[in-house]
Amino acid sequence: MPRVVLVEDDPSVRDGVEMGLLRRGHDVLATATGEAGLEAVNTFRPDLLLLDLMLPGMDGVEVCRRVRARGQLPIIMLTARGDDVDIVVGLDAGADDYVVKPARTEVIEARIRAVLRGVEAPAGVRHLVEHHGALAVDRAGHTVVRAGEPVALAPSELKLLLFLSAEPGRVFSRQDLLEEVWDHSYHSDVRLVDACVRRLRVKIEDRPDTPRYIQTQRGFGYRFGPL
Amino acid sequence: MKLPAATAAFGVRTRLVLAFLLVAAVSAVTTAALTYREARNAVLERAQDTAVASFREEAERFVPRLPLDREAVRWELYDIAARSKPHPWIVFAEYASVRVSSGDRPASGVLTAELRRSARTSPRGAFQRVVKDGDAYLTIGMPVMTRVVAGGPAVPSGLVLYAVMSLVNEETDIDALVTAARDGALPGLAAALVPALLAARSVLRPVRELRRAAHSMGGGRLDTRIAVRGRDEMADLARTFNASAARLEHSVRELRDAGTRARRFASDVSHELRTPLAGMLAVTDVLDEDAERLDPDTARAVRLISAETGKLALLVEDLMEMSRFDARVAELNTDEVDAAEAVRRTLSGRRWHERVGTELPDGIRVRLDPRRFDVIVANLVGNALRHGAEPVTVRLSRRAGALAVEVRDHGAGIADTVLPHVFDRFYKADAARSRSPGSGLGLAIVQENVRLHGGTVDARNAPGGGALFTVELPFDGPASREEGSRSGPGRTECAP
Amino acid sequence: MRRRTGRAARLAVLLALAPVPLSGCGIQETEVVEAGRPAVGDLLPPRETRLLLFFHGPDGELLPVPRIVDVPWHSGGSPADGEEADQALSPLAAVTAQLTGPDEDERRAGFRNDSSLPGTASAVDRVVTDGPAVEVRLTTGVRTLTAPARDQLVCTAAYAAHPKGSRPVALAGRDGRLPPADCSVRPVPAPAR
Repeated sequence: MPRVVLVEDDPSVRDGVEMGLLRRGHDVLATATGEAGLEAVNTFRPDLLLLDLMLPGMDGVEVCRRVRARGQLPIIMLTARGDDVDIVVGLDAGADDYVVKPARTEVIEARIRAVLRGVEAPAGVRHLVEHHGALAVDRAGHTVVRAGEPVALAPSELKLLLFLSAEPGRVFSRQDLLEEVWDHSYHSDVRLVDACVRRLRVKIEDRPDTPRYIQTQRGFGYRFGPL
Repeated sequence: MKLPAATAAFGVRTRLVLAFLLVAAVSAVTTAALTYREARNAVLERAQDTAVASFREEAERFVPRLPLDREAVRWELYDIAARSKPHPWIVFAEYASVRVSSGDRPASGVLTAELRRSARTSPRGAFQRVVKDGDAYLTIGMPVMTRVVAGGPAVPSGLVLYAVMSLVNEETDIDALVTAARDGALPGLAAALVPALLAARSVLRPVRELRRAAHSMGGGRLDTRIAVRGRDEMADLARTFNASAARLEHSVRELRDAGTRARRFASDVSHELRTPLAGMLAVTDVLDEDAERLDPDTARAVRLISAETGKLALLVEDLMEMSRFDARVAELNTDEVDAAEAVRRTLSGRRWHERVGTELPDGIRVRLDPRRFDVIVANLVGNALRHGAEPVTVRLSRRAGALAVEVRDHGAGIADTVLPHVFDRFYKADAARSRSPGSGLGLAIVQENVRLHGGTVDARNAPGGGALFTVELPFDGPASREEGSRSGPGRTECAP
Repeated sequence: MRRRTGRAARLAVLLALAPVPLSGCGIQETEVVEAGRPAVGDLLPPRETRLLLFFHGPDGELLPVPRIVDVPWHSGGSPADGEEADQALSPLAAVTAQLTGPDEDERRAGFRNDSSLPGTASAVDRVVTDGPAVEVRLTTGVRTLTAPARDQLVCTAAYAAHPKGSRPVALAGRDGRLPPADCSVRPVPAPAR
C-alpha cells in the first residue's frame, strides 16, 4: 500500500484522515505544518503527498513548489470549496490532483489510486522510444528526453503526454481527459486539465505561446501535434 | 426625454445670449429712436425758423403797387425766389382774386386750404409741412399788413404771400440720421454678443462641471468633487453636490464593507463548519466497519452517528453554496459542452439511467458550468423521483437562443398553494411528511445556479398530471442575456 | 413643451415691438402752425396822395384799396390849392368814390361793392364832420343797407376823416339815422422798420 505523507494543520481533520488511511493499510506520516511536511518528505520517503492548501506559516502552494523542485513526487491537494486561494494556484504550482474536503476516506483513497496508476514504469520492459519532433518519449520506461536533455515531468504531466501522444492528431475534450487521465467524473473542474497542459507546455515546448506538441482546438479540446 | 438637438437649440446659453441681445437691441433702438427724433425735430425747426424769418423779411421788402400788377409782381416774386434761403422757393402772391407765382403755375398744388384760411383770417404768419407724392414740402403763409400811418399801426392789406420750399435736403439729412442710428446699433448688437457669451460661459461652465461630476459619479468614481469657486448660487450648488457625494460615498463604502464582511463571514463560517465535519466524515467508514464488533445498542448508535454525519456534511455543503450565492461570490467556470452528454453523465453518475426516460438530441452545444449544470439536473431529477412518481423524463430542446431542459414526472403534481413557493428555501411541500434526504435547499440552489447562468427556471403542473420543471439556459452563456449576468468577483471562462 | 412655446411667443412679441419706435421715421406732415408776426410793409401811398376805399374781396373780406388822387402839389401853394387838396381827400370825396365803385383795375382784381349799396355817386348828399363825429348823409335809405355795406361806408368815411380810422361814423338817410358805428378794420400796432 502506498506510503503517504499528510500535511494538514487542523487536528481533527488530520486525525480523521490519518485514521481512515491507516485503517485501509497505508503507512501514514501526518504533519501539521509545511516545514514539518517538507522534512517528512525527505525522511519518510513517501509514495505520495497529501497536502492541505491552506496552511499557517509556509502555505501549501509554497510546499508544493519546493517538493516539485526536488522531484516528481505525486501531490494531491486537499482543498475546501470556498477557499480564498484558488485551486488553480496550487495546480500551477505542480499539484497533480485535488480532493475537496470534507470527503470520505474511500474518496481520498480512490484519488490516491488514480494518481498512482500508470506512474510506475513496469519493471523489466524493453524501452519503447517514440520520436516526435525534438522529443523522445519512452513509453515503456516512462521517460522523456528533449533535445538530448531528460525532462522531469510530474506524474500527471507524464500521463497526459503519454495519453495524448498515443494517438497523435486526435482531439480529446477536457471532459474526456478528466475521465481518462485523472479518473475524475465528467463534472469535475476542467481547470485541472488546463493547468496541467500549461505546466507541460512550459517543459516541452520550444515556444510555449506557439505550442507544437500540445495543440489547442478551440471549442473542442487538445491534441498532440500534428508536427 | 428631451432630444439633444432641442436642448441645444433652446438651452441656457441660447436663452442668455438672446436675453442679452434683446436688452441690447431694445436699449439701442430706444436710444437711437429718441436721439433721432430730437435731431430730426431740431433739423426741421431750424430749417423752418430760418425759412419763415427770411420769408417775412422778403415780404416786408416787397412793396407792390396795389392793386397788383401781375407782370410787375411776377418779376418781384422771381427775385424773392432766387434770393431764398436756405433752399429755392416757389413764391406765390394772392391779392383778392389775383394769383401770381414765381413758378409755372399761378396756383400751387401743395398749399392747403387750411393754410390759406389761416393766412387770410388771422394776422399772423403760419407754416405747414405737406407731403405730396412722397416729397416733403414746407409751406409758409405770410399775410402782409400795411401801415395806415407812417411808422404807425397797420391793417391787413389783403395781400398774402406764400412760399413753398422743398425739404429734400432735410430729408437727406434725416435719412442720414436713420442710417447712422442703424449703423451704430448693429455693431452695438454684435458687440453685445461678446459679454453675452461670456456671461453664458460663466453660468455654463459650472453647469458643465456639475454634469461631468455627476457622470463621473454615476460611473462609479464616488470620490468625485467639484471645486467651489466664488460665493454665488453656483458655489452653493457645488457645495451641496460635494456634501451629497461625500454622504453617498460613505454609504456605499459602508455597504461595500458590509458586503466584504458578509463574504468574509461566509468564508470563515465555511471553514469553521467544514473542519470538524472533515475529520468526522473521514472516519465514518471506520465506524461502519467496526460497528459489527460492538454490542447491538452501541452498534446502532454508531451507525446512527455515521449516517447523520453524512447527512450533516451534505446539508453543510448546501448551506455553504447558498451563503456564497447570497454574498455574490459564487463563481461560474464555464466550458462548452454537449448538452446531451452532460445530462447522460449526470444520470449515469447517480445510476439513474435505468429509471429515467430521456429525449436527448445530440449536437446541442452550450456554454455552461458543468458542475453546476450537474447540480441543476441532479436536483430536479432527484426531486422528481422522490416527491413525484415514475416515469420521470428529461427532455432537451432548443428555444430561441437558449437550451431548454424539461424534467417531468407523473406523480400527483404540485398543489396550487405550493406552486408559488416551490423554490423557496427550506420549503417542504408536505410538513407532515417524514424528513426526506434532501436539505430543503435543493430547488433554491437550482434556481440560484440557473440565475448565475443568466437563465430561467419555472415550475408548473403538466397537462396530463405530474409536475414539469423547465430550465432555460442561454447558449452563449450568461453574457448573452441582459439580466442575471452579474455574479461575484470571478466569472471565469475556460477555453482550451 | 408648453412653457417653451409660451416663452418663445413672448420673445417673438418683444422682438416684433422693437421696431415700433422707428415707425415715426422721415418727415411728417403737420397742421398749420402759427409762426410769429405777419409781414408789415408800406403798401399804401402817403395819405396826402390817396383815398382809402373799402371794397369787398372775392371771398367777402373787407379790404382797404388805395386810390391815387391827382392833387396839384405846389410848394408854397396858395390856400386855394390846399383847399382843393382838402376837398380831393375829404370824406365826401372818399364816400363818393366809394359809391362810384371799383375802377377797372380794381374790378379786375376782384373787388366790388356790396350789392345793397346805391350804385351812383349822387346818392351821397353830404358828409358832415363835427368834431370827432362823422355823419354820412345819403339821399337814399340806410336801413336797407346790409351790414357789410354799412361797414364799407363807415370805414371809408372813418379813414378819410382820421388817419387811423378811429372815428365813429353815423349813417343817415331818407329813412332815418343809424347810430354811430366804428370801422371793423382796426389797425394794430406794428413794429417799426
